[in-house]
Amino acid sequence: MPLRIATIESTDLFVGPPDAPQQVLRVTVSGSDGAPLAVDATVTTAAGVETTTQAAPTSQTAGTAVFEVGVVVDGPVGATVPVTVTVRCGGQTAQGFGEIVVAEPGWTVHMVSHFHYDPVWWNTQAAYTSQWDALPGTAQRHREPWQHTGFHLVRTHLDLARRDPDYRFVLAEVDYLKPYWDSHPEDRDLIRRLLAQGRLELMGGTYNEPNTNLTSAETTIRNVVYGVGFQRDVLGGDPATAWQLDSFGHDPQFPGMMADAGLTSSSWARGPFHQWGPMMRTAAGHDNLITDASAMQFPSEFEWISPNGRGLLTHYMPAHYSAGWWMDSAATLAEAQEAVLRLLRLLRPAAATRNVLLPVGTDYSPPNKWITEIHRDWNSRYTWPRLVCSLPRDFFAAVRARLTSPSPQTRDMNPIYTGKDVSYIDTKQAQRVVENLLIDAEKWATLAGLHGHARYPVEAFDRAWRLLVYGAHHDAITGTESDQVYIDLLGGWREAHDLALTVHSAAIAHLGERIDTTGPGRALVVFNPSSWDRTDVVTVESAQPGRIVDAGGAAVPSAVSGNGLTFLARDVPSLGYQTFRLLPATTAEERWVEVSGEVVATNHFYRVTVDPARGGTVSSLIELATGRELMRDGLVGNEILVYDEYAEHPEFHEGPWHLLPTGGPVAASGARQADSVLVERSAAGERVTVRGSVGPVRYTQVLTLWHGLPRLDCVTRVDEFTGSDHLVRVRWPIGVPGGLPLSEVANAVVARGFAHPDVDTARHPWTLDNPAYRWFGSGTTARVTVTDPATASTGHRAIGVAEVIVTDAESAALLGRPVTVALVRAGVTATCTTASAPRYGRIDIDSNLPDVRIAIGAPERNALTARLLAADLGAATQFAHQLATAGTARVWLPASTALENAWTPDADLTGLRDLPVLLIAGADRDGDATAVADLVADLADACIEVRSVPVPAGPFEDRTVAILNRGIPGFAVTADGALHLSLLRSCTGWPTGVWVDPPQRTAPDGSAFALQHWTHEFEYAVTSADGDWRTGGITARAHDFNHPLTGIVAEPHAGPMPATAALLTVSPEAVLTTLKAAGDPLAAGGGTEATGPRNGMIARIYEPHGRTAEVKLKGPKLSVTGSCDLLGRPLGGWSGTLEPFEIRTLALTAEPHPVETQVEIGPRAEPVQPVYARYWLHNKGPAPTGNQPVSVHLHRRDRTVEVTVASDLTESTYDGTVWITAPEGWAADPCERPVRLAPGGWTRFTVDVVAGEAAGPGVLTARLDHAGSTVEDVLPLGDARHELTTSLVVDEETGNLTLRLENLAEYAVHGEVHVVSPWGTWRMLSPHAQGFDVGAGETTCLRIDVSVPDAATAGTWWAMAKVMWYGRIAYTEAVRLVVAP
Amino acid sequence: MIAAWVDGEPIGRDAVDAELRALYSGPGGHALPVPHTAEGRQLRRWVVQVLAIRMLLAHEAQRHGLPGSGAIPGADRAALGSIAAAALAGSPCAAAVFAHVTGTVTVSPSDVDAYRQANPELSAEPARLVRHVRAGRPVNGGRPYRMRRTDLLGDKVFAAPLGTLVTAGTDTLEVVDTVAEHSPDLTAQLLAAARFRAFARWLDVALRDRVALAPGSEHPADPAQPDHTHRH
Repeated sequence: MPLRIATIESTDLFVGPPDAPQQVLRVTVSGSDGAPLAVDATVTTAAGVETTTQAAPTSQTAGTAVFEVGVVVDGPVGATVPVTVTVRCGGQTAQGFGEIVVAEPGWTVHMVSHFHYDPVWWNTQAAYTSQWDALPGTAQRHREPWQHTGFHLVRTHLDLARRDPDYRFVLAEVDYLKPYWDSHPEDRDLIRRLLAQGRLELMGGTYNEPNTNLTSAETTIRNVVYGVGFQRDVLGGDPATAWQLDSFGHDPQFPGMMADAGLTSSSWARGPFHQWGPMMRTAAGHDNLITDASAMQFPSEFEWISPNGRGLLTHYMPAHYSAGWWMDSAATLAEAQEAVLRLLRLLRPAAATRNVLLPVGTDYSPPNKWITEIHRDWNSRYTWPRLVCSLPRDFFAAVRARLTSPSPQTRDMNPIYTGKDVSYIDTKQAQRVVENLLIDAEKWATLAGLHGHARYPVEAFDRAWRLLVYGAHHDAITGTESDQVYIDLLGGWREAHDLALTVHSAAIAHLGERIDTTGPGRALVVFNPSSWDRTDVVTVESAQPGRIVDAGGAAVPSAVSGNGLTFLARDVPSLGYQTFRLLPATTAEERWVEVSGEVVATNHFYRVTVDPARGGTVSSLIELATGRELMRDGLVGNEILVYDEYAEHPEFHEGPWHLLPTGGPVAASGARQADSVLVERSAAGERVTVRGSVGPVRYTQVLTLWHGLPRLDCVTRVDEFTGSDHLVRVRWPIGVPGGLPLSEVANAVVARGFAHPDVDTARHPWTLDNPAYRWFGSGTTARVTVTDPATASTGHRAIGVAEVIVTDAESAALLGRPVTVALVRAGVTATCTTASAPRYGRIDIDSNLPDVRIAIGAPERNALTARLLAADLGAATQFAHQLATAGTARVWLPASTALENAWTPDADLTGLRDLPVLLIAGADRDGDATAVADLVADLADACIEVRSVPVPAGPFEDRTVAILNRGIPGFAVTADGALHLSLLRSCTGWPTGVWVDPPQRTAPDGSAFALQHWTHEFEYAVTSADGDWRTGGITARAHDFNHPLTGIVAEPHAGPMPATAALLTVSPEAVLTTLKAAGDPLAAGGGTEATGPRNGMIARIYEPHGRTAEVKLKGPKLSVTGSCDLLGRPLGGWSGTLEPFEIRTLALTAEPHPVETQVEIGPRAEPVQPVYARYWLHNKGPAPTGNQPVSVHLHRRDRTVEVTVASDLTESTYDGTVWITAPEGWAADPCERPVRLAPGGWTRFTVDVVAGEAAGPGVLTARLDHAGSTVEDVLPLGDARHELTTSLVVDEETGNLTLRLENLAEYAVHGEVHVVSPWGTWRMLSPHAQGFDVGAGETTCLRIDVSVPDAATAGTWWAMAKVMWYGRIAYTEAVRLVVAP
Repeated sequence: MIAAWVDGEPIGRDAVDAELRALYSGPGGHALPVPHTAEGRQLRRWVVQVLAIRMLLAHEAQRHGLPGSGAIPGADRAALGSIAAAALAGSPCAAAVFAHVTGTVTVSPSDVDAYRQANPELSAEPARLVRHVRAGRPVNGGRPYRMRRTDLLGDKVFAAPLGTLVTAGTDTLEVVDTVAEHSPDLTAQLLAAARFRAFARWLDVALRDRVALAPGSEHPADPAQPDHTHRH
């Protein structure tokens, strides 16, 4: 057979010099004597360009060989160029004809080796960090094949970096970094070297990957304080990328906050699209598992912009954070390379530059086995595309070099995983209350140090914040964890709560002692944590109730419940206090009195009517100032709805993180008679209490109208819940006609789309529930007001979520950015697209939907505008007329159908007129810019004025209704105006009920804790206002609802502070979110000595209404000196201007005044000493109080014992001694070892441990002292097994609990006990933590006091004890905790 | 019912069921996912792969006439994955097949030199034995202890001749002796890593070529099977 060309195949690969690349043709040649070994190939293009190559075969099969031949081609990418190929071999010549599809050179795949580590999920912190392999039983071996502990992974990645100089990788979460850094200090030099060589990058800048949409902005800010503090200051890295791979959506203000913290980019995989992004579908019913990224409406690299206009260059991972990991299963290098190329081709359509980030790693994964081989082999053969083992910083640098105008995106990166807003609801309630209490405790502690002599309790605050930051993890606060992990996390929230409450109470008591309280009777001092003068109810605990009068002697009405005295405190000064008088009771006690007759409660603002025949639901809610009935016709409010749910989704299987209704509610409280209805009045207010049952819920609802407060306070108590795969919501059909859903987010407000709470999620998986921060509602955040130029008649259309369509990438930055920023400052989030990109608005793709389109540019520059005008002659005429007469045009095209009709569970809103469109244009590009500038200016009042016809015909009312919440974030507003608040659920899907350390524990009824079978109390309030939410001051109402006034009773005494004072006043245009001592020393290895308000403070404020504001702060003894970034680094002066939604941190100094003796108002160290060095083995969350900057660890090394000592101190030297104690019968040398460590230093030494004749089992201990704590590590010797049996016994007489600990070991054991109980019980059970020490073979008993406050409501809960010693843990059975009615 | 075939030999579902029963009833079984849920089916798939590798190892031993040699209980899970590690830990042929497959793997002295030079912190660290008196009180009961150069007064101690005293403040240290610290066996480190890597490569190819999986027994990480849904 003569020489013959069998096939000619075009590729998208290039060889040759980077600046003159040759595209590769694959030519298959067969020869006369088998496959040719080499050929001379000449390729001639149609244009006559000739390229000649000497080529060796790249592969051979029987009789044929494949040659790769570089070709110089010219032509637009995608064009087909005919070629003639001539090969010569051994005197023979063959010719063939083929085609080259012109490809684009210059592409680089940045393969980023990472592992995604969660400290908690279905497995425990101990297991995930270091113990997974050590857990009892072969069952623990089962896991995804690649999964390992955090320690094992760091070790494995470091080992590969040692062996392979091409290996680059990233490390991230502080949850494993700090334990590793401290317990493996011998790797510090290597880690520092890899950082210096640019082969290791620390990712995050945050402590973990938090779910910022479920916490306050301040919790997010502290997350970055602790992330950067450790990664940069302690470890020496340069964190630049907010690495939020797995977070279930993001708070809209997140990018701005990270930019304000000095980070320069972000990257993550969840937000704009459902589940696993726009490329992947679940398996069933989809042959093509992965499609290319062309469904994305915007590039994967874009500027992610906050409501405050601050942005961050962001890479969204369209194929998810595991995309590149799967090539690990390739059996050969060539297959692995092919997998990478395939991903490049799939990702290319969305890339903003010729750079693709390919995350190569997944959950708990070791280094990918092919990554460096690909790097070496591929790039030695091809010029383009480059496949490089790279780091995110190199990727972002490459993107920045090319992308001068990133696409502006303000779109809401929610709602991903709707179940996260409801599962384990009690942890969300705890988070919200504790973060607010802690924020207020910081304020009062600062003022107590400024105006008194309280020492700033930096250690207590540090520990409490780190607990909250730990709990904000996306598998913690989201309720996706297993039962055991829930129990562990609950302990963290409780500890943070107790620390916050301790400091809050002590700081206020300290201030109270300094206040002049002289006067008649006793003083009632009411403290206001808000930065405005405030009128609100306050409840004071007083053993002797009495008559209250104000400073002027006027009577103040009050109401008594138990020992709680509730009254309306008027005009309490901003971040200050007011003193009332409590006089001996002389009139009738101010008790609640039952009244008969109409089931109605009234105050100055509202009249609420309850219908006993319909379950005690609200049949009427009248806003008295306007006479308006808020309830929609014939419907009832405050109705409890019960839904059936799938245990796991029928198609994509997942459970707790999805809401999974099987359809609409299966039971509603309004469908049956209430069991009882009680109407009561008191001098302070009126209330209605209803009781009833619905499905698995027995409930009590209390509706209270306090005289003087413009809100209806609601409590829904679930007295009993027996649900299994049930979801419980409360519904209020009070939406404003023409209004859109509104939602407070962290330090901003945005509109959100309508939800579909009643769908069968097997058919329509996306209910579109969203998380609200402290309030959600219905009304208008921005609107288009259209005036008919001829008749002057007007119509309005609220707008909330927009698609902004521009010509191209350049106009996206020039025109799209100002418009999207102006919109988002008005509360309207937007996706910015180009006319040729796919439209936003398909529920099967997008995680949320738009309600309006804004097209910028005249038809010749905007194809969408052209299509719209071509189809609408009237609009085209108006458009042309406006352009001709004014030079710019602004035309409103109403939608072809009303929004509520288009917005269906399978909505596809991408049709031309499915949504209304606002056309904005000028005569030319400059004219477009003028039109955009006009629009931006017009948006300052959140109203876009348009003069065109037709005017919108739909209903529109300029008012707002809102539901304020305390830690119940999940909401859904339906198109028919029903406001839904999600209360709780009982999902049985995996990992519900998983318990890792035996024996398995359950709630007392045998159910998994995830099912929440105990008493829950949900607090929310309904409020309303004319005008929009800004005019109505809804955010301030929600703030106050979440930051209650605090009152204390004080005996009369003189004091240096006046009876009433404002200690800090902020202009009402801003909200103070934080006042604290400057610096976070324990986040960064610093000392605490210099931290206190007299050495400097910071105040954080934000602008809440999306307007520019002039703001002043003033207060006695302090002054503003300038501005700083979120981490407290000085930025210079401050003009006093806040931009819309801006978060601003200010530096404050105290007037110099003499330092007095300091009073402690919070603990400096762990309550139980010594502190176990390996805290993660006790599933205790973050490092102990003080952040354990100096640690000691014992290691078994073959036959010797090694001790390592490591310092995270960054400013000071550690100088101390390690004490080694051997158990009886053993000898250890040295037993005393002086250690001095430079900042960041470490050392190690071996200990000779010798067993004597009488040596039995026991533990070797190593201890050191630092900052008031003793750190201890232990190592078992001999046959030491640390057995301890535990039981929790209820003392029937006192109701107290006794924990019985029996030590079966032949040596003494000491450790720590926590009582664990759910939210709602923490004030009843104490102490939270106590130590124990029990001798060999002995038994000891610890008491847990149970005390029930007088005002406690009846209910059923549970309590268990968690026992921790020497890295072991045991949980007792949960005992039932009942407060009888 | 067949779950998988290795070199054409079937693995029955009953064998899989038996292995699963042992797991569920063994220690830690309570932490395993509920059977007949997506996660439960993933566990079943995991078990099938383990059994398939065990059979593959048995076939390989038989094919090459390798003697029964024992399991490898502590195989490098990161290099091999949990499935292969579990199979090696439960196969009586593991050690022999591993030795057979990786017997030709070597590490050259120049590889070791390059490794040593690239990683200075792997070199042996010298130490000194010191006797320490602090503020007049003998530390550690007067017994000497080992000290690193970076320790307290390390530079001074390392500069001082044996038998001399180093003082600083109230600390007096007598330099008693030099101590050679154990240095890690770099050849062994590199060889072990290379062997596990070679074994993993062999196994990947062998699994691809010699194992067939029935529907429902796909590899748990196979993205094409319907229960592979937890991508986080």
